[in-house]
Amino acid sequence: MHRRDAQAIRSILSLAAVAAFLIVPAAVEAQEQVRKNGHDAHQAHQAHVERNVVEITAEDYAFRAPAEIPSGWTTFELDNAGEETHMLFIARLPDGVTFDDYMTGAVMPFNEVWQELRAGEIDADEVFPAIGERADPWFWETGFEGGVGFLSPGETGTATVNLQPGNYVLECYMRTPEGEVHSMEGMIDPLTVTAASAPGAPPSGDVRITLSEAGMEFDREVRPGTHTFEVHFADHPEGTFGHNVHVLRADPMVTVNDAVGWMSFVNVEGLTDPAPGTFVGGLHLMPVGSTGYFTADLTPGRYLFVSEYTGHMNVAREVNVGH
Amino acid sequence: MTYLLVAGLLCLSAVAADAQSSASARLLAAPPVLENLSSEPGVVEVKITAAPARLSLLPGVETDVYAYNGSVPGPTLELTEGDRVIVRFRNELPHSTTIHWHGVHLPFEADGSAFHPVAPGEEYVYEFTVHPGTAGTYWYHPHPHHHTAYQVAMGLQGAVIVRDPDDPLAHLSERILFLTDNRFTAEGAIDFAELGSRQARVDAENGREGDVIFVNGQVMPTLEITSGEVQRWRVLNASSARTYLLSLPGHGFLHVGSDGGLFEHPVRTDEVLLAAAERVELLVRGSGNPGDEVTLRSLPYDRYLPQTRPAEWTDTLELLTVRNSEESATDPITLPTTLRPIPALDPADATVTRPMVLTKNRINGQMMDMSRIDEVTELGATEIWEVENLVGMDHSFHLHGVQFQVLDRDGEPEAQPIWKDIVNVPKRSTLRFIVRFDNYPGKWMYHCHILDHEDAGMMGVLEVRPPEP
Ligand SMILES: [Cu+2]
Ligand SMILES: [Cu+2]
Repeated sequence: MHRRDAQAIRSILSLAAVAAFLIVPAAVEAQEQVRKNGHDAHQAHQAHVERNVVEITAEDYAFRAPAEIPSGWTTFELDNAGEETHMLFIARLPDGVTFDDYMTGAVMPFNEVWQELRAGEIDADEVFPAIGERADPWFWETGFEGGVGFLSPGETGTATVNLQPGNYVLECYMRTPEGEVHSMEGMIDPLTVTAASAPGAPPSGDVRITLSEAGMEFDREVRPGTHTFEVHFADHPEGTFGHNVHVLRADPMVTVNDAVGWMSFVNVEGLTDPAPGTFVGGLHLMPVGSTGYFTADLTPGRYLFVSEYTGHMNVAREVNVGH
Repeated sequence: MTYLLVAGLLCLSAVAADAQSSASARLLAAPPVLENLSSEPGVVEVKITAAPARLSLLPGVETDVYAYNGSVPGPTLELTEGDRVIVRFRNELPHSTTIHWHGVHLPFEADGSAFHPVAPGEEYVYEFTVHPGTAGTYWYHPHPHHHTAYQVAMGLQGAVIVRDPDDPLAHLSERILFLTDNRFTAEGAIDFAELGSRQARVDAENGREGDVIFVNGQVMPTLEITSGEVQRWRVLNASSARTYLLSLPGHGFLHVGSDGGLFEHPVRTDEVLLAAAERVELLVRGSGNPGDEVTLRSLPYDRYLPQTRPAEWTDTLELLTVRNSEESATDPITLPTTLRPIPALDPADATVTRPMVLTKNRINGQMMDMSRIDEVTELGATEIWEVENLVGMDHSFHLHGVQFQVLDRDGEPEAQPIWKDIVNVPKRSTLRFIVRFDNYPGKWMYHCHILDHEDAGMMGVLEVRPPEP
């Protein structure tokens, strides 16, 4: 877990926030089109051979998840059984910080600031400075340990990460149509990772993605089919929460900027349905130098692979999966 | 000389009488009992009117309330198994309302759910027959769609006691402890949070809790018990959201009954958890010396989400004083070890396991829609309901018109089959109960009994249909 400088994060995040707060979500008809096309991705996963699989269901607005799992390589399989877009964000709590502390010292300050933004009481550029002031100082030592990216209703996605023993939080910070944050509505759970080790091993990825300030690099062309993406987190741009990757099956009218704008915390229309397409999987924030995996079933079509917090720095890629 | 002595005695007795009356003003009194207007044996006919009233709930101040027959809590409906019951209800409130007979097995038309609203100025007759084997402690309260929490907080609730002609505990002296809580403004008005305020959000999340606790409408009354005496307490949580964790230091309870009446076997316990709308029957033995006092308390119980957990949740609440009377000790009594047989419903008879997933203000992802039927079953069917609370606060689950038996909680089997109509489902836990839908077709509501959650939509409808011809 790397320590971050709250002050630096605050000042730079506010710039990033403004940059990310850009474009209104794409045309509704385009979204409906991709929504229809996206549903067949549902059934495809790889066989769970020799893998430590933790099945988690996303409902509106709660997870069905175990309270305790062994440590080691773990595949989280998220099934979105709800009617809204969800995610599985995995955070490791600093030593001595409890789940309740996380609720009151992190989730609540984020929510407070969000509600003020939504009510027009503060501007977008005040959001991250305000969070920096109000979140408990330990928040900046929270470890981001991956998880499944945005996932549209009916989709299943997996994320495979290597977890050390400790206290974790499973969280979805999407927003309801009424503007309430899912975690505040109940979509957040404690997870204890015990010292017992699971017999898990990392999967073998067939496409390698490197995330860095230089952009999002693929080591080969992406063909139709089910893929295990091996994602390498090469650096951690100063003042951001780091890189992640979300896979959006998007219509030609939806640009990378549309997707980045929709993902922006400071966009009052963002992080809420309708999404600018069908999210079919991804891998959430991870520490610099680490490698994680996610699977996605890609039928032929146009996809946007987008990093939520660094997409505005061009950590994003349009991928046309051919026939 | 003589007359002085007499005067002195009179004086003393006057002081004694004064002390007596101030003490008796604080003695626990049962709510009034509804008068039976029928002289026919086996028929109970009563009149209930719901109307605005101005009553003194707190000493020295008057409060605008809604009251059943002018009393808060409302008068108790006393019934015996087999009775034919006729309740002539009149709504003199400025809103539509109903009377729901919580836990009573009765026809759909008499359930008083949101499906049978009674408009202002209208009357409604609730008619039902009390089934044998259903002796127990029930209650009645309004159930209008979206407005139950408000009407209950305004004062509308009362007890129903159903007696068994062969009650094995009939020889014990009995007390009803009708628990409610409320919140008041400085002027003594019932205090509701301002729309959009922080308190309104807290109330929506936790359910509205009050800082004044009433037992039978009294604040910290005194209940007298004689040393050696065993009393039967019917404790009824008529609060809108508050959960009580009852404890009587140095005494302990013999837990003998639940929502639907007596257990088969009594259970020794020091603490009893009572979620909103639950009832218990407890036996308490007077064990102190004359004049000794002990406080019935509610211990801290964390049912809350961290973000709205009240700062004072760790406080122990005082409910009433139990005082050992000056009378000499009574003879010990013997209690039967089996109170009544309770046949366990058999999971092998269940035709379906119905999942009920609880999330904020939703059941199975849905909010209540009066025009939607969520579940359908056939009259006479036995079913298992699996109630899964996915979120970080306790919810409860109440099913109208029937009593059920909890099978297990997070896989742990229940010690004995007991009758329940409402059960607390702790945060992030799952329980299963078994139920049989006998006698009455109709549309039966099921919901969280934190009334603000119910009003917000945490409710669904089961239609019980007569078998296909
Ligand atoms: Cu969510
Ligand atoms: Cu509830």
